[in-house]
Amino acid sequence: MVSNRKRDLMIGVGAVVVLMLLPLRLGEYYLYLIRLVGVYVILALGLNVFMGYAGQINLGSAAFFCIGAYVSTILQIKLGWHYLAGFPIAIALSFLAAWGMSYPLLRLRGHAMAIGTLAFGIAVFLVAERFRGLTGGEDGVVVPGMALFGQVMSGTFYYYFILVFVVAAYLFCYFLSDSRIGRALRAIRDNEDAAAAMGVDVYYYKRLGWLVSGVFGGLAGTLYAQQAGFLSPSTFTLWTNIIVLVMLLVGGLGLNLGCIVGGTIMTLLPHLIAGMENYVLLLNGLILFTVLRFLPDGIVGTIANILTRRAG
Amino acid sequence: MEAILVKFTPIIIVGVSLGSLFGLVGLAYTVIINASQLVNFGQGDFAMFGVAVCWFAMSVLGLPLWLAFPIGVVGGALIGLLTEKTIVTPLLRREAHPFYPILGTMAVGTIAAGVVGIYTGFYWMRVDLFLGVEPWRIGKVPVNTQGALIMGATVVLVVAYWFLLNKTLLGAALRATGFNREVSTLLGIQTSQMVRLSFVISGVIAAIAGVLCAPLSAFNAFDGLPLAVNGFIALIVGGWGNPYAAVLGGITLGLIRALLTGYFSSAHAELATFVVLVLVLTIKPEGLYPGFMVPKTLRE
Amino acid sequence: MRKGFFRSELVLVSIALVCITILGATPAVGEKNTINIGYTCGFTGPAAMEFQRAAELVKGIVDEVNAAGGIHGRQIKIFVADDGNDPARVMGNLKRFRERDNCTVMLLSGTSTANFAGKAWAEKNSVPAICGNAQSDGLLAKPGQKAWWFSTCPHTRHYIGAMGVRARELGHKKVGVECSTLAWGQDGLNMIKKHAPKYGLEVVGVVQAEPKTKDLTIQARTLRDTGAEMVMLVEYAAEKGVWARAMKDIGWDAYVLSMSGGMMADALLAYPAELFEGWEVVLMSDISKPRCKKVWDKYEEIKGKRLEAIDLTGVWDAIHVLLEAVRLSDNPDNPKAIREAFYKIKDLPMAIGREGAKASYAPGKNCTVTPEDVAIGVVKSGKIVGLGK
Repeated sequence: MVSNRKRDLMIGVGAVVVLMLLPLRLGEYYLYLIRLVGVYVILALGLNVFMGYAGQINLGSAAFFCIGAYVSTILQIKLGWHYLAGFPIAIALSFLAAWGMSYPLLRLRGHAMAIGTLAFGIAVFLVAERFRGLTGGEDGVVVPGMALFGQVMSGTFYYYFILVFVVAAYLFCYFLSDSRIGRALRAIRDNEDAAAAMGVDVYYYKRLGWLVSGVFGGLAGTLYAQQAGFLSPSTFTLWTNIIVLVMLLVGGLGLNLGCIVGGTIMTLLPHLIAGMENYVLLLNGLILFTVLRFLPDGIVGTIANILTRRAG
Repeated sequence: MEAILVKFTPIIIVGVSLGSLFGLVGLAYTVIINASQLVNFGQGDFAMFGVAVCWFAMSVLGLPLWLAFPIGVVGGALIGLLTEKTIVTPLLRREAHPFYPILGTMAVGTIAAGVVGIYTGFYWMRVDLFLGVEPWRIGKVPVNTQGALIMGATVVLVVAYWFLLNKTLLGAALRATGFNREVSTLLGIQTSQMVRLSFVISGVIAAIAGVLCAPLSAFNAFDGLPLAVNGFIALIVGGWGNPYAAVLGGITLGLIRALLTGYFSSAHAELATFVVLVLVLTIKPEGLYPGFMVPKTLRE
Repeated sequence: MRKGFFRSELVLVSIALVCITILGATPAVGEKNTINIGYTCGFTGPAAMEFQRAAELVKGIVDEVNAAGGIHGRQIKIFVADDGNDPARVMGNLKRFRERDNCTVMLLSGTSTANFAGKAWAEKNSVPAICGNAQSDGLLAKPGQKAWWFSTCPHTRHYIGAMGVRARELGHKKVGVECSTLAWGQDGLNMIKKHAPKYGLEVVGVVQAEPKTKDLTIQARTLRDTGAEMVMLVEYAAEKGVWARAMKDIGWDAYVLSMSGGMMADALLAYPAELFEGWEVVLMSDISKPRCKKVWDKYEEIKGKRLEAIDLTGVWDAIHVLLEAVRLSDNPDNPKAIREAFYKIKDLPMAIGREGAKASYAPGKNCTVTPEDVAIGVVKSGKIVGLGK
């Protein structure tokens, strides 16, 4: 176990060092892509705690993504707040929204939870799209730049800003996985009734997972909006919920590393096939199909299986 | 009083006809749920595929509607069969968490939407109103012909389904499979065939619903998903797993939307649907009519 | 056990191969000796057909210019990408065009939603961009302001102006409005409400339709009950058809004046033509005029198909203005120089507008069109026919 930690630490530090050095070589467009990946990885990590660890279903993860993005943006536009003041408020409001929605939604099981969370996701999207006075509606809004020490922050700044939070989020999930909370969540996933019989407060832990997912979603949202410079509801459609779910499955449900792999692939896919956009829908379907049918443990999971088989 | 009736009746008619549409999709869901405890998230895309095949038969092959419609229905059956064969049964056999075959149905649906989309350029697949542009008139009240057809088809399909389930041996086998798969296998029922049949039936119903509603508003490859969501909401609002309740749930939703549109504003009908859903899930999660037409012995 | 073992590895290897192939297949970046233009277009989405046609025309025109030697002896390379009318993708495309493909000027074919994002990006990055299809007033330059985003097509206020004139001409006073709940519809509605009194019109009722709605008979009845004599429509193609059917269903034969010829043309393809008989629609151009015919001649030359699509006139003007700006600029590799060149354009004839209309921009005026340029057409037997104004 200890040697695993050491190995993981070395790999992690190495990866972070490489990421920190990339802005020296890459242009703004590629940094933009990596920022985007970072944002979606945070979103996926959060969902992974709720769905991967705890085995629940959330088909409305884009809701918190949307809330986080719009809260910090609206505070900047309507009230003239600085981004760094709106940032914690966005996360706090996502937390509150998650708390509020945990009461009706977490009581449900299986399919009802799926449709309930989906409905929540769509409802938030509709609010963003239709209430133009508040959110700018379908046309979207320009997100004001942030000034620090008299200078407007550039894309590179946001790159490092997001990197910090991706690392923090990953570490959080990494340690959560091995902790008591993580074990409780997995007990719930494996057999909810057995877990309850063993004294696990199922509802408490489910809500914990849901709150983590909500806070991560809000964090991802506010980071996304600020680094993009432009915000519109099209980023938070029904389809987005599904894509995030596919990220988890492609990487490996329950695996943090899977979130990174899946997040990278699904985020970069539409940009890589620029010029063949008609095929995005088909490709998404094919990826989901392939993963479900042939790689149920995801890419990372399957590699891990192969490695353990080789070793054992 | 007269004035209220004149305003009220068309609202009811619109509400019931559109609601029946969602109810039909909800019914299609329950066919699969009752045979395999699975939710087919590709249900809307089944409908869309049926429309695509029907449109193809009409516009590319030049066939008349009365030929193209059945061909479209066969298309729906085919996609149902395809879904079952390629993803559902393999995943069921693997005994994975039921989550996976459900996502599998969505994957196949997305692939279907992708293929149809690429072929049509995501453009509209034109299917004209079956009975022409002029509405019928019952007294002073005009009735939209397509809406009437939808209501008629719903009645026919519900009756047919009831007949299948309750008066045929096949139907009994279907019900048994859904009720308890292990016991059914012991009794000699080919449960895998039953699951396959349920997907085919579901595809047929979805295709019929799809082609019926395609003339109402230009239908393209993306339009499967909203149909799926609305149908699913109809199912939840009506009563999980109960086909007749699903239809009733759809009609209820349709009426609520129509009443809202008629008496308040049409700008937020979609949002209202979700509010109703959340209310039902919070207050009565088993649905509004969970026991509707289900004999007491089978109620779980 | 062995079978499953190999299978997983096989799948992984095949996925890796596919990824490498895709990465290898990504198109080449823009070189330095060509003049690079970025073109982000809504190939999928609400007005897909319109923009696909636009892209075909643009590509054909650029090919022609290149065949004749290019501009100042340099070839033009145009990078086309789909944005699905998604602002996030518009930004992504523009970023890539600028960073990876070295594009110095951008062309946009998308709805207002996409263009708001495009305009924001253009201003932030100081790169000129031009659009050729009808847009929201929010994209117009403020008085005295020099712009980075230009257009060659009518904006909402030009259409509303023409609609008001026409309604007054026909002697109507009470107007009912049917509009989409989406941005364009809401914009149009607000403009109509604001300007109606100028033309002696009173907006007596408003109904809104959500996208992909399947029935509007209740709304039609509501609007008729308000005593409206005519209907002004700000609606997308699919919902236009639903509304037309609704009016037929309730037997309401009122005069309908609709915004967006492009949407009307699409609706005529998706629904039986008899639903729209007699409807009038504001158009970018009077399609009977010779300057429009030359646009369709060119399209027929390129695609081999005769298509008299109104929306092509706007993008025709846009690409010609863009190429003229590149030609007049001191340095086609410098976005700022190209932007200055937009303001230098003088004698370029337009396909949109009055006879003899020429393109010109000035601080505060980033659009070549005025309300007088907008034409009115009527739907007769499934075709849109100009009223010769």
